[in-house]
Amino acid sequence: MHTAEFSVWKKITLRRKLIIVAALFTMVLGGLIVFNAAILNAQKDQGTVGGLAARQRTLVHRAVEEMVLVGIGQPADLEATFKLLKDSQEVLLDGGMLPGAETTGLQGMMPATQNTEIRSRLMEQGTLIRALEAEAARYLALAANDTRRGDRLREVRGAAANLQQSVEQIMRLYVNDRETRLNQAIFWQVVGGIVVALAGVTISTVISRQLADPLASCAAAAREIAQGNLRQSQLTVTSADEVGVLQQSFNEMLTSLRDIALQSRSVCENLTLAAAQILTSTQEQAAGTKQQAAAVQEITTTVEQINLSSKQVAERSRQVAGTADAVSQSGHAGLQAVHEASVGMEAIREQAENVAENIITLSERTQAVGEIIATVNDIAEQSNLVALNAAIEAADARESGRRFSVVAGEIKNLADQAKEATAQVRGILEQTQKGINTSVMLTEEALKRVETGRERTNVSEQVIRQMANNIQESVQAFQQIVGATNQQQIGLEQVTQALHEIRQASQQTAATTGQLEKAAVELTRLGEQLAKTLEKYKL
Amino acid sequence: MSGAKETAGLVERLHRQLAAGFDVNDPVFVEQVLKVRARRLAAPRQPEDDRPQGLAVLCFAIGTESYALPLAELAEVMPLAQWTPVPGLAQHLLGVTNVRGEIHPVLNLHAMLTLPEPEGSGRAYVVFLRTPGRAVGLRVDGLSRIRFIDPARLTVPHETANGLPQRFVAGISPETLILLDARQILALDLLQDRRADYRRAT
Repeated sequence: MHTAEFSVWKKITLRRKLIIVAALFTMVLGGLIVFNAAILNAQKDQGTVGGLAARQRTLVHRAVEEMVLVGIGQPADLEATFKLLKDSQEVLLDGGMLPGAETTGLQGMMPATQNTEIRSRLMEQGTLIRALEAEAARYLALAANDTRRGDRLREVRGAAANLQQSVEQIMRLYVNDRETRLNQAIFWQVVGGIVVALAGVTISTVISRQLADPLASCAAAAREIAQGNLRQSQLTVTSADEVGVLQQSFNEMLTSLRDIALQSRSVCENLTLAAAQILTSTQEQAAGTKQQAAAVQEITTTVEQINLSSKQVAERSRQVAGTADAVSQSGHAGLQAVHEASVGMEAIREQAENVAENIITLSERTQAVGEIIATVNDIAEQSNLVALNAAIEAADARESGRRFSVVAGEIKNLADQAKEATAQVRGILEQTQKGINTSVMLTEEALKRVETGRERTNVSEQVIRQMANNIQESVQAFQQIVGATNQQQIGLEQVTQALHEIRQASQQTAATTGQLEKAAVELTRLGEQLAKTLEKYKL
Repeated sequence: MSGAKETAGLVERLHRQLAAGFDVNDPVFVEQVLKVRARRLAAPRQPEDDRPQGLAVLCFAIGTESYALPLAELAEVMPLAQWTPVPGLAQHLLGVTNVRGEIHPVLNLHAMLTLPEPEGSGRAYVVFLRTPGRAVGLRVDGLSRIRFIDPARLTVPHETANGLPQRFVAGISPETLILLDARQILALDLLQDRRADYRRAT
């Protein structure tokens, strides 16, 4: 609520407003009371003044009597009476303490007279008092037996009569003055009362309107809401007091109600939809349960068949495990044989290597022989040359060199034979070398074959070992199969038991599904009712 | 099973060979060799009269053909170790070679007989011709032997044809041995003195 937007008055709470109004009226009432008290107090003073003015008449009488008494020689306090008369006249004129309190018992302050006419009369009264006093003094100045006293007495009486008349007039004036004042007071009191009453009515009207109008609009809106009309405009927040809070809360309530109604409507739609889905699902479930029961029947049959098959499997596995054990033993024997073959191959390889080394040695020796033969051949060649040169020399010597030519021919023959022999040896050596080469190649081939044989033996050994391992594993696997098949049979019996329970459970499920279907129909109906109820809300 | 039989035969032969193994120090083997040699030495010598008559010639090979020169025309034969080609001379002259401190010219018979040059690394021999001055060498591919031929049975080619290379051929024997003419070879221009050349030209 934005309190800053409102004036100071509208920010004040309602309780404080009421307190302020009450205080204002109390103050107005107090003013009226004070006014009345002031008027009554003025009346009291007026009474005192009246009394004082009336006492003047008495005092005039007393003064005349006391003068007569003094004239005849009787003791009387004429002086004091005149003084009291003058003091009273002064007090009436200018205000002050009441004179002669000790004799009259009257006490208090007297206000000065405001009325100009009364004042002039009072002034006149003063002169009349002094005239009376002068007459009295003249009277008393005459001897007691003087005849002129009678005249004088008449004059005193005349003066006294004037004074009396003045007093009467003043008293009449006082009475008139008091009436006038009373009338004025009554008038002002009536006027003030009327004004205060009007002000009270106006203020009450304004405040009540400020209170009642928003409340009335709230009430109207609440009536609309009660009828389900949420499609109304927001209330205007007119103040920051409780009414403003009420309007604000009302607006929030309206918004919340609208939200709630909207959400309820969508939730109701969802609910209806969900209920329909539940119904569909339940029907499907019912169909599924029937299928399930049929499937469970089939599964039970199948499981019994499986049980039969697994018994056969266990029997076969046991037989196969026995056979595989035998095969494994054969594999061990084969492994042993292959190992022996491998050892034999190794021996053959060593011998072949020895043969190869021998052949190499032989080849080296043959080469040495070849080198020697080459040397012999060179020697034969040179011998041939020597023989030829000898023949040439012999030819040069003609007849004397004839015998020498024969020797040369013999030398030549020897050289030729040596050459021929070396050629033969060379041929044999070449054949030997060829044979050695062939042997070397054959030995190499033999070594290669031995190597290949050894590799094959190794491969065979590995294969047989692998096979033995595999067979061993197979034996273990078959033993595991036998064990597993036994467990499988136990499991299958449990499965059969479980299938029986499943069948029972599916029957229960079918019953439950029927109830569920009914409940879903009921739920759908409830959702439709809720939707109808919610349609009352106009959004 | 034939393999087994072969193996058995082979083993038997091996044992036999081991039993018959020879040794240079083996007295039986030595005696055998000595007996063969004695038999050969005991063979009857050829009679004096059986010695062949005729012209003694030295046979040698040039290329694939056999040639011959009379022994009387020759001075010496020896292996041709190395020769030095002489620049500016005709191709008939192979070069010069050093024999015991003396420089001798060597002729290229292949070029003279218009035969293809021999393969690079074959052995070569030189046959020196007997001359009044310094001996002249002929390069040949191989020396074979001394033979005796009958000059009357020689076929002389340049009586029917003329020109090179028949110029150097003295005759051909019935064994198709080509007898070369040493004098014709020595009469080659390049072996002549330069002044004689000049004189002949004028």
